[in-house]
Amino acid sequence: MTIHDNRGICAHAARCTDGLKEVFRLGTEPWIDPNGADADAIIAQVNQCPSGALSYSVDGVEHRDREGDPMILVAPNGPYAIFGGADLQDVTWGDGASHEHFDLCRCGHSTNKPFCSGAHWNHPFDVPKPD
Amino acid sequence: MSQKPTIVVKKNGPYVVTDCQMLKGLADGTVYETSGTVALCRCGASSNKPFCDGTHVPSGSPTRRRRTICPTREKTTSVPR
Repeated sequence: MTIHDNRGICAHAARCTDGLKEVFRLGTEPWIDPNGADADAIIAQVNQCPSGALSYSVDGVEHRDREGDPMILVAPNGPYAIFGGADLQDVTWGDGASHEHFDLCRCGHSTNKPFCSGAHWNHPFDVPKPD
Repeated sequence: MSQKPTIVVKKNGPYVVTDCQMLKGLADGTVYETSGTVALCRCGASSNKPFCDGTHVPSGSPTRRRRTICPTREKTTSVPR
């Protein structure tokens, strides 16, 4: 299998570096070690990537989009995570980006609007109100 | 499969979503009731998140000038790439 890493659309949700550290190695170069885990574990982890930055190919066929009903998830102090596709109008997509799952900026600080660039990490905006 | 939502990105305004079948909080699974069309905050300033309440942060405000590229979980100042 081949792991694809599309840095330009990563939202830095860190699902991969938190979930499978043996393969997705924060602070190490190269940061992906495809031999760090078996293929099933890597596929399961890649399928957790919300931005579409990670995908994989098996036997030359890329698996980018996923199956599922359309939904919009609101991540705490994070973006809107779109799954199941949406008709996002008048937007220039990054090369290779999934139109089925992607993250939309919710904090107003993204450097890749309307998509999330992870900038909310330095700009907490969704702080619960005091009781 | 149900209808896909349509999302329009309003300039200096919210996301206007039509055919919004499912809007859910990722942390607690809260399902937000919608009539199918919603305006979702995209500036972070709404007091009725995730919905827009009309409080748009002006694009020229100081908070908009503090921009950071590629933050990391550790908030380190430099990470080799």
